[in-house]
Amino acid sequence: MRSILKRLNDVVGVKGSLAVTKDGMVIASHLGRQLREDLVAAVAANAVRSTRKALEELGLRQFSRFTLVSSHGKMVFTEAGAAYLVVVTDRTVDVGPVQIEIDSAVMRIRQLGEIRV
Amino acid sequence: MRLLERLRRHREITRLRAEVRRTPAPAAFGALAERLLAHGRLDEALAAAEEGLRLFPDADRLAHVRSFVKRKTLAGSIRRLRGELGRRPSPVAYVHLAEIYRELGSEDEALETATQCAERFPLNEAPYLIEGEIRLERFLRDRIAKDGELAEAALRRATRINAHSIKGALLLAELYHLVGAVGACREQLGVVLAANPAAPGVQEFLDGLDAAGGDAPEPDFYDLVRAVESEGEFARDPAAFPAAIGAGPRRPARRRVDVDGVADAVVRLGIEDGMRNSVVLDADGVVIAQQGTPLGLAPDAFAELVRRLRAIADDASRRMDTGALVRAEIDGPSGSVTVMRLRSLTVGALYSEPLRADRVWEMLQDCSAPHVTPVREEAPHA
Repeated sequence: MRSILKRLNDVVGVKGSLAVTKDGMVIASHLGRQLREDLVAAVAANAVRSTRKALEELGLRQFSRFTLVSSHGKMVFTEAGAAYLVVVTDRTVDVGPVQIEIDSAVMRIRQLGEIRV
Repeated sequence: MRLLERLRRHREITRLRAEVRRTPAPAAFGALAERLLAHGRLDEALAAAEEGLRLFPDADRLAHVRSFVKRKTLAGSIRRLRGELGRRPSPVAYVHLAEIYRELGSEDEALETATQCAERFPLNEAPYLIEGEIRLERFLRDRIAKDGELAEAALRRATRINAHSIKGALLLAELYHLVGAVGACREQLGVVLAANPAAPGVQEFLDGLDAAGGDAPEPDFYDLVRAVESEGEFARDPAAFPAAIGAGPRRPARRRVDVDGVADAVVRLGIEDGMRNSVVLDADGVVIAQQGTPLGLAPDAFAELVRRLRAIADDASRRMDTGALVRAEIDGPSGSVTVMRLRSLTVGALYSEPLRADRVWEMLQDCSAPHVTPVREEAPHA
């Protein structure tokens, strides 16, 4: 898992990535020095849990991707089997090419099979 | 190039320029800037992108064109400065590199460069001025208390290192003006006048502050800055602090939103094939307008979903220190949702094929663009 995240972080504009379980527990993370691991993990876990709950309460099926764009950064949450892959990028990054790398990382995470925390 | 080809390109650009004049929307600016870029006319592409970004600061297409052109033209300078920092690091080189990153719109890299400079040269004021200026710009744009607090801390540090820093005092004065700390603003402008009695515009601005009174004890700065965040408005008009005396933070163009116009335009999106629900909420989450189709959710249920997604996205943006929410997009088997922030309004849309997130984002920007107009700057007053 760590090597998948490390490879993803080599993409231009990606500042860090982590994998969290569907109930928000951190499986692995690889973050640049600008990001605090405990903070990113807490934010990612809360976003995943709260979004799933909001959709569930309205009878909607779960999300496969959640992209959050703010004035100075982006976060992309992508469903990867038993986990969510969370990627933090610059605001100015063109999501298209990064998305290809994210999809490729998601495929490799799915291939890892069962995830134990 | 053959004459016919040049003529064709000229006509194409002329048509796109006319389109921008007729309907100044993100898509029109984006098409013009991208065509100019494709034709290798970098300066004109940059000018078109920057003109569009002044009106639509969240337009991704325009930001990409600007970033591409600037990176192309500034790549050599970045390489040279990095090499210089490796061989012979100096505060001047760090500051220059940070300024280039700011020019590119990479504020995080600029802040990181300032941090590295502060670690190497802790007694130099320059990195704190850079951090303070960036945080002040963010505070001006997003009105988030944390940015104001970090700006004050950095600028205070810069003025402790150099008590005669005119730039530090001016930036602090502007910050205090924004939150309504008139006494502290006056104090900083006094520092400026002591260092340069002829500083243009400062005495006149101070006279205006004196005429407005304001000698009562001031609340704590942190309370004032939090009040700006909770109310979404500055205590005093940012335009009243004249740019002529400011140390130069680039103020975002002030915009006025015609709420009814946006509401009508968003509801009209309901006729698009694939659109299931749309809603416009005010700052308190109250529904201003909404529409739904039989394939969508009950309108009130969708409004509740948008409220909750906005809260989740806001919370994540603030805790991650990435500024204010611009938009959130969710894709899933039940369809896709886009939530867009437009000043104090929140716009939400639920849709499915043939609509896609990038298209809906562009549609939401384009339909709201005619209802967001720049505010004419008035004569300076305190």
